[in-house]
Amino acid sequence: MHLLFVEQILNGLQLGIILFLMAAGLTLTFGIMNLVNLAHGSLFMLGAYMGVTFQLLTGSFVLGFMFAGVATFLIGLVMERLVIRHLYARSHLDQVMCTVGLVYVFNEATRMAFGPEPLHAPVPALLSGTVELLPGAPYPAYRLAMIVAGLAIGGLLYGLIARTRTGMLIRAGASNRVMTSVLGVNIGTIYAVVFGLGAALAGLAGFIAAPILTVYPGMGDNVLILALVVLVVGGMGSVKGAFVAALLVGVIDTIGRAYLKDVMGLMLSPVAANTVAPALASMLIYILMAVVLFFRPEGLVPAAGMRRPEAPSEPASDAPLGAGLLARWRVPAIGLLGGGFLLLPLVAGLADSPFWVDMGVRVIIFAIAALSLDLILGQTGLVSFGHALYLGVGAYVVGILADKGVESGVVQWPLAMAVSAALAAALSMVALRTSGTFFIMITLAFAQMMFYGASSLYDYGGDDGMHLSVRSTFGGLVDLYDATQFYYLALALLVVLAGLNIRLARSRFGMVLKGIRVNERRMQAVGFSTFRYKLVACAISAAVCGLAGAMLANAAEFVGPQFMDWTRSAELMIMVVAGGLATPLGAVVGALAYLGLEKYLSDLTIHWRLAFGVLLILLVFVGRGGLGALFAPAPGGETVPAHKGSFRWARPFFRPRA
Amino acid sequence: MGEAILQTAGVTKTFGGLNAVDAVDFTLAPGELVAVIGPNGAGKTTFVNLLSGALRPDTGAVMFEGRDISRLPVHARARLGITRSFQIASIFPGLTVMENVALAAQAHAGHSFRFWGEVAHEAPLRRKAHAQLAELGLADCADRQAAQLSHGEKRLLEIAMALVTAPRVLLLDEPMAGLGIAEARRMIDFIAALKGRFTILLVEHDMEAVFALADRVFVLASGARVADGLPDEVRADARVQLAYLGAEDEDL
Repeated sequence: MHLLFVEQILNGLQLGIILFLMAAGLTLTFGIMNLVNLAHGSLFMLGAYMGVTFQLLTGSFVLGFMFAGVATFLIGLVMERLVIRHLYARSHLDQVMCTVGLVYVFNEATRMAFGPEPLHAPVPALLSGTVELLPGAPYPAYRLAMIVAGLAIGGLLYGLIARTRTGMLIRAGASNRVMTSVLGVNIGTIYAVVFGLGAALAGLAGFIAAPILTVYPGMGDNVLILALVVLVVGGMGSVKGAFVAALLVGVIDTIGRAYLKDVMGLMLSPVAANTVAPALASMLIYILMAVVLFFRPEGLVPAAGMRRPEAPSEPASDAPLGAGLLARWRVPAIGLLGGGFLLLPLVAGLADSPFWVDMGVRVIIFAIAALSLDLILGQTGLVSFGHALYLGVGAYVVGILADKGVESGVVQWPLAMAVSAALAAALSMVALRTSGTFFIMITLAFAQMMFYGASSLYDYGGDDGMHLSVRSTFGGLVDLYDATQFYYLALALLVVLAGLNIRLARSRFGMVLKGIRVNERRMQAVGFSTFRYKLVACAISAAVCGLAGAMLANAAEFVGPQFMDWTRSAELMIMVVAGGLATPLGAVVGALAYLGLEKYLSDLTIHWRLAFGVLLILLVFVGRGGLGALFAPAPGGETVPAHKGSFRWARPFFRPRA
Repeated sequence: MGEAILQTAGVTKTFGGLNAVDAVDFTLAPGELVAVIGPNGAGKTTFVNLLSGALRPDTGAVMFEGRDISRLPVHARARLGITRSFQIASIFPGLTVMENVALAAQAHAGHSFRFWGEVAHEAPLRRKAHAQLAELGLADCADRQAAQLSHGEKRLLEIAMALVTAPRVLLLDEPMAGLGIAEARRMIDFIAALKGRFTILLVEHDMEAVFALADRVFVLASGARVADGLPDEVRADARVQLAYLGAEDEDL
């Protein structure tokens, strides 16, 4: 028992070391460049792939190790030069979107180059044995070597930052970037070097971890999210904090998974412990993060002398490319869109393509979800990166109720909304204590927490999810098994919700949200308790998204943790941004464009995500304002003629909000 | 001096070893206009932040009408009637001038958990906002985007947003900062017109404005109170001259 415990502690340390190498790069780029780099996980993956390939080629582990470091360092430099550099002055939302685009590109490029099958990474012969640390407790030598190597790299990093000239410049740049550049230091070079350094650390971590992990495209994404948790727990921008937090997170996660069931068995019945413990164990570090944030919002070891980074002030007001280009077609375009949605089942019937109706339902469901996200992202300016969580919650409510024999949609759907809203209220109590980058990471981490929680619901399919045994019933009024009826029900809900959204944006509440987005400090100074309004906005938004989730479960006849995967959250965010922020039309157009493009590209090639990632990066740099901007009146000038006479009623719907 | 409306008792705020505000006792009587002056880095803005609630004192207390409000956050103090303007114009650039002021009025006209009625149709809010804009001579730009205003107009808008909440105490943090001579004169005249109607704390570098407006002058240097008295007394005070000259030396 004791020996096993020592072994678990060592396993925890080893996970912690990997996380530290990941988090060190992240925390440096964040502290110095104020950059949220979600593509950091891709560097982990690239390090693993490149190092292992080189190792297999040369037969030398050491050469592979060196190659992994050098290659990712160079990739980092190129990445910084081509893309990252242009993000420093951008909003956090742009940074998230663009680096998610990079993740798509890297993952897909890796899949193209190496194939989808996992790569086997051999353990070097020298370290393939075991070491008897304590008598009777053999421990794999390689894992031990990982800890030692990680500590050595960490020590070197510390020496570099604390003792060398370069390190001094890095520290100077972190504490006052303007002053450092005024003193004649080329801050651009420092940024590039720091980014490359962070990339190399991630690459080395990937290579070291390769023999004990599976090397596959996308392997870095989960590690990235753990590293983000480490960052938040340790304190952003603090390398020391990252070290402490990484070990803490590594050990807690490992020990929790190993022993929580036994501990809970002491208090609960064995059956209950068996159900609850795995779910709780996988959520443990996220709970740790929430607790740390609640009591110490700046992290355990806040970076010394670093002020709480704030979001870059007002984004540059350069108009999006082609804004207002199609302004005169605004009304016809909306008419066409509306007509298209209205007549779709008819057209699909005539064209003998019933698939179109299913596709239409999907678009509408995602439009509703995007609409709900827009309330907090577009209207309130809260960059929530975990919105798919409520899609999942809504779906699970329907799935679990159906499983328990409650099949009425009149019960299921409102309950899905209520549970989503309640959960959002609870999570937002913690998340809203933070702002800017922290908020992005926390919402992401909470979504991930629930993802793992759902994956551990073994009674409801666990990882694989479960089949929805029966679609929601509506007392014979609407039959969801009839595609057309389902379609029109969804469409009606979308129209109602879009109308409510428009009303809300013009109401007192909507005005407060707008004020919070533009200048929250001013809102408080004028007497608004902004926290409460944001909390309510989050709850409303979650409720609507929960409804979309309930519908999605019905449409897919399936419920699974995939619904709340972080890529889903990214998708929702992309829809909202692509369509245009703070307009219900944007959500609809965004959902249509995203799903349409996905369908079109995926018919074209299995590597569609590559093209998609590139499009996403272009969207950030060229397409600010989204598709909606094309139809908005040109900035500064009113190009939309006032509607007269019988069209007066339509005015509020056609006039874009400022 | 009558009963104090806003008062501090030994408030101290320390930033990593530096006493930005050091055991300051201060009173503000209803209807009074007190100017807080002091050299750069004297702690004036920190002091305003302690009064408005943006910062919480390390020790000491802030009292409003005899009630300890040291722990209240910004918005709660604003609802009590302590309203401030910012040193750097802080407005809602994307909204119209009218919306800016109406939004400020909305904060003091019941709760805003109203999701249906259009706020643009709430006549009382618009009337209030319009009257306030007219008073400041901004009525003509009511429908313009606040971002398009000149610097001087933004400062006025900022004050309009504070006034429309009918504040009990008005904290003006360098309202003249960055204004041209003509605009500064206009602002002085305007603040002079507010005198007597509102209780005002004015932080200002422009000595002409301070001595033209203030009933009482409160001098801070290195976070501590150096002098507190009638403008003429303070002007003649040797310690004040020393504080200013000493600080000027350091500046150079």
